[in-house]
Amino acid sequence: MARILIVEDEASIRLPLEYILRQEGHQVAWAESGEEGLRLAERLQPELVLLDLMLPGLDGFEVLQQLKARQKPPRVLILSARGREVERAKGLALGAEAYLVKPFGLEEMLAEVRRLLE
Amino acid sequence: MNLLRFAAALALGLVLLLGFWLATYYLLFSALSPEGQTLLQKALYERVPALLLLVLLLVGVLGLMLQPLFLGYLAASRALAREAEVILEANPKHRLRLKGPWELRELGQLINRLAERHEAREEELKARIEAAKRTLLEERNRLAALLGQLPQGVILANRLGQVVLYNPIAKGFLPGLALGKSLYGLLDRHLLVHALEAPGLPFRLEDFRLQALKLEEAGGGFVLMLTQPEAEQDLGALFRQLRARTGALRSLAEVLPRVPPAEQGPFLALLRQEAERLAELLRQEEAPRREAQSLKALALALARALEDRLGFAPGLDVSEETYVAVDRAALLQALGPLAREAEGFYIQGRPWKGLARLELFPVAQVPPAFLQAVSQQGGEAWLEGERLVLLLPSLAEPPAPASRAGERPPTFDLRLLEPPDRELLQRPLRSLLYTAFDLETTGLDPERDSIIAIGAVRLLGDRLLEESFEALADPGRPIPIAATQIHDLTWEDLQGKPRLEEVLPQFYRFQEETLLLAHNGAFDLAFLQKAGQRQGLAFRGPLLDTLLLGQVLFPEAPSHSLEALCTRFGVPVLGRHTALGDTLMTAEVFCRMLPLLEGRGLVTLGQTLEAMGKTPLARLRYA
Repeated sequence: MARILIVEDEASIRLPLEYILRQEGHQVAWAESGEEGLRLAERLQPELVLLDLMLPGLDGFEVLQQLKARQKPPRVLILSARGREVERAKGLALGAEAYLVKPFGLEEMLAEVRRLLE
Repeated sequence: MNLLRFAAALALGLVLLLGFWLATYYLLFSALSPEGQTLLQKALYERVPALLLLVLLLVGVLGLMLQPLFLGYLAASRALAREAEVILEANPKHRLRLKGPWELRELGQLINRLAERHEAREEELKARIEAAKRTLLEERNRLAALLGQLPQGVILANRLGQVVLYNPIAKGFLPGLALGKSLYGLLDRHLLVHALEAPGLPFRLEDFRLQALKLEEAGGGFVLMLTQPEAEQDLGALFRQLRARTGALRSLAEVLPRVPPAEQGPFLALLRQEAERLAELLRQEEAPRREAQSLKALALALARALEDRLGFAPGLDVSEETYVAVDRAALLQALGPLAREAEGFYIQGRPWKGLARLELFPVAQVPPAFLQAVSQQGGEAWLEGERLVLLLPSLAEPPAPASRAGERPPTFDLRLLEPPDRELLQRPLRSLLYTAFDLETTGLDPERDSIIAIGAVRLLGDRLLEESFEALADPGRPIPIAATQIHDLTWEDLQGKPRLEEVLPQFYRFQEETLLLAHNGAFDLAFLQKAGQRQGLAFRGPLLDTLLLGQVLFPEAPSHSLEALCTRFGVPVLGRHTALGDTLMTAEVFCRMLPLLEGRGLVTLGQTLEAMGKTPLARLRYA
């Protein structure tokens, strides 16, 4: 069981993730914007952040950079519709542990989560 | 001046007379014996008062004789010369008033006859020039139509970056565009330099794509082309949207089986929402590119296309106007051999039940391609007897001007192609850009009163440009009756208009990089500078003043009011005491003054300002 933070502005993506991660037994919190995500991450100290890139306000890449700049950075799994080679490379270069391009399967996502929490 | 010359002549006459007397006295005196000399001296000394009286009398007689000569002949001939100059340089219809001595009247008559003949020649020449101009104008219009029809925005700039030509589409992209204005004020300098270094490579800006091309000929200017960002540019965004939507659908579909039926409600709602968003996305992409146009224009295009096939022009009747959005080219292409062999063919159009309805007849059968094209455009077509009915969705409002802008000609002035490098003061008046302007105010004191109307037009040398500015401003308080009597504006008229704080910056941008021109401009400039100060806008001189220029040109004229100048130059006096009306008159007067100033050797701005500064009024008011 782990503390997981989902930063995703679209309910239609967030809700299934949240549901299935809770089923897996994790403690799940979520934020709808980059700023809110950073605040929650500060307060909850999650082990893993599922991060969308196209967020209102602060851009996902910036959120990633700020998360990774902390003393105990959480692991970050990017979930994004931005699937170009360069975008994936940038995400990983900025410190994300994994990058899933939408549309992804829930099992695929769970496998990544499990791998990252090991 | 005349008085001075008169006094000098008088003094000269007196000196001559006295000299003659003294010489006579000396000759007489030296011929006499000593006794005779003593006698003569004594006789003269005794008559000194009488002699002085005689001298005064002589001065008076001399003055009376010289006065008509100087103040009549000389001043009148000077006035004659000034008036003749007006005929020659400014207003060929002007005639000399015949007054003064008969010799001058005769001369005046002669000049009037010469002017008569000169005017006739001018008219003849003008007619010939007009004919040549018409030909030139046709060529110009053809070029303008070509530029106007271009789907891109086009800007031609000289090597200093000043705008020489632009078409309406370019103006749509860059609303601040105006002739003579520097592009560097409108676009980032670095960006322009970059674009010029990579010709042919379009730069993506916020609202448009920019392509630059350096001109080696024509003095080394450049051409900018501005286009809408193409659809392909947004393909990436479309894919991202598609990925996000399918991503959500997939997650929802996968999670649903794991959710107990009682809790499925929110998931199903999201599923429906996502499916709808996806469908909407696809609908948007599928929509063909349709252009908004008037039903009349569409009917006319159909008629032209049919004319080629029929060999005669179809009858056209679109009585009431409405607007439709169609891909005209696709429709025309699918029209095919529509018309049957007939004596005549007719197209009728009208708004119908909130739609646009076109009827074409007689038609025997409809090509399937046409039906398909119509349905692709969101319309329907069918045959009613011999009539082909075409129904199209009607637009709620006419297309925005931007989409019709293509029909309007571009704006240009090719003289700007050769920008003078010299300092401002050395530049000829003819080459300068001016903003002629006039203000209406609530009173005469720049400290206390405020500006309530601004009118302005731009000029390049003696050419009025089609760029004008007109704004009213709410002073926020009642206007004194004395002021209302001049300009007819009351506070009630101005309530609801923008405040000066809003209007002044707009005017500031309008006049930027030009020279200010006004009649009795010291007054207006004082108001502008005071109001500008409060908003951090520095209105800078120098200012050309037609009132002072009038003094330079016609020092003897009794009045240099705007009306007097207009009458002199044959400028119609219209709309007096509206800011724009007075501005236009000032501009017209200035245009006619230019050749006269040049005739006086006042060619450059520096020379003109200097002459203006020497006029008595300038010394009074600008001091």
